Amino acid sequence: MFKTKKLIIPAIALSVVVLIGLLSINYKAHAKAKNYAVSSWEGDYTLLARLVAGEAEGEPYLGQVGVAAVIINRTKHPKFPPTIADVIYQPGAFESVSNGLVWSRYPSRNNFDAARQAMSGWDPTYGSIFFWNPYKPVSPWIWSRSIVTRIGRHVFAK
Amino acid sequence: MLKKKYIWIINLIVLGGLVFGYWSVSSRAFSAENALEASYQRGFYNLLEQVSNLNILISKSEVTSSNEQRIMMLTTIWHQAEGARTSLATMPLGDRDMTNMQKFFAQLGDFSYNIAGKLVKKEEISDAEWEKMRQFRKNIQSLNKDLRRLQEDVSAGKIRWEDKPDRLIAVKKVQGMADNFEAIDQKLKKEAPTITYDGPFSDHVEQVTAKTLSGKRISESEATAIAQQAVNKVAKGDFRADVVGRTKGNIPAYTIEFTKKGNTTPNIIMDVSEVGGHVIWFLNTREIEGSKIPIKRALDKAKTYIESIDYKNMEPTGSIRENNTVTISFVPKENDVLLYPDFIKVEVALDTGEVVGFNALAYLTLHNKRKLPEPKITEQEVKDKLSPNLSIRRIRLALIPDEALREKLCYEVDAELNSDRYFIYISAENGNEEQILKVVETDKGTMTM
Repeated sequence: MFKTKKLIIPAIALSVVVLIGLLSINYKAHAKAKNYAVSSWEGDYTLLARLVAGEAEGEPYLGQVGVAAVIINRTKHPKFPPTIADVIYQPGAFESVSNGLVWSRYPSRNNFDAARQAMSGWDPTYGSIFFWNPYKPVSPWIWSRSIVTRIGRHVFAK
Repeated sequence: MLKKKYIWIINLIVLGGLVFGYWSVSSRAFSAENALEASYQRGFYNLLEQVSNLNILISKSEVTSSNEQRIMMLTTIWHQAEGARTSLATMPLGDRDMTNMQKFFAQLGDFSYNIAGKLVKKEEISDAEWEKMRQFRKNIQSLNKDLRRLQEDVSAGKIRWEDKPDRLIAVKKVQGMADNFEAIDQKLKKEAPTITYDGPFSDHVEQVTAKTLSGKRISESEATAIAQQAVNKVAKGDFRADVVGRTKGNIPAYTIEFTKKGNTTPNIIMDVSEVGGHVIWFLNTREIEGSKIPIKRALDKAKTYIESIDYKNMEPTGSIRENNTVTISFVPKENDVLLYPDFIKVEVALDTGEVVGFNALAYLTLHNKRKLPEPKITEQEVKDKLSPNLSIRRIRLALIPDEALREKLCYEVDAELNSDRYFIYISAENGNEEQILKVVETDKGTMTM
């Protein structure tokens, strides 16, 4: 009898913690969805800078220009949709869009500069349409692309 | 006794809370999942409709005997094919090699638009072009069939977008949509031919290769020496040079980073071509504080700079000011013809007037001794063709790239209408109007749109 009582109290405490945890996760998801709606008013430039912030945080400046240039190259490529927004929002195309990172970080001045430079035609990746981090798990087919260069932790390929 | 009751009540409340929490979380997740599924389905059904429209339109465009009708149909095909590209892009197929279908729609639309343009100009449509149209019809028929089959499975509930099985009620294993799409995509890749025509999505555009650069293959240390020399021209201070890699773009190159003494991150990055040791581009990433130098002086600085590195006879064609830098484009002039495809770009910092960016990729890729055609039309004939409302400021010859990167010799007419400035390009070959650009003067510089 005494023993069960002792067990019940920690069990209650644990369930309360779990419950609060569940609710707070839910709350966060809700907040993110709101950010999402606001950003749809922003221009291509800001959207591009956001993607750079989400995908190339901690990368050297040139690597950031490279990531932005890949987006620009995709809009001109027949194998990808024709606008910057279509390319960025293509489901599953970018990890930072799938996991919401792209909305939680505000782009730095560097990110904006990189986006601007890529939009005005600067392309250190020579027309690449893919980039990936080789230390993270990626679809094996991607290695069949022809690799152009490596900047920071990203591999760029056509 | 009382205590025991108390514990039971707390337990019940907590249990109730847990159930409620789980229910609210899972019901939200459930509705979010449904909304997502709905948006995917919307893309899918839009695609089905667009493909079915394309199927009908292509057959009709082959049957019709009226060219006016045909032009309408072909432009509608272009429109529907662009719509299909957007629909396809809303479906969750991102991590698959699902690009053949995108390309198919892009080329179908682009090609139809092109043929429509030819019909408008009353140009002859060749047998080969009709054959391509027939091929497109065959492909779209089989695509239509495959998608219809997929749709039947979807409405029978056999296929869902999310290919994870339902964890709570594991009734049946549902098949993933992405797998099915991949199969159709691969089939299309086998069936659809590669085609070359006058549009931006033609296969030849992807495969632009650089003309052979002059000079011999250089070593890493030679490249470093060349880069060092280039850096000394544009930046003061002691830099350490590191060759950080090789780039296999359309011009194979060494990538070299320059780090100022005492800094940890590189300041200047430069690509030097493996053949001939040409500087392809460089970028100085230093902070630029304030702008003290007027644009006109920045332009002079840029001009002096490119002359000092042996880019002679270049004409500035436009500038864009952003933050504290200005980027100026230059194009070479050959026998008084401007060669627009071979542009270079120079970025000047407005705090000190230093060159902080240089890009000669287009020049190094395309510039060669061209055989420029003789204009078949005179300047006077161009003037007679133009709208009488325009006041002409200047006419000169220019080589411009069209959408398919083919070069055309044109008269560039710099003209004004209602105090707006335009550049009008009239083919020197046949007098057709090839392009109109509107010049927009902003506080950031001169841009053309």
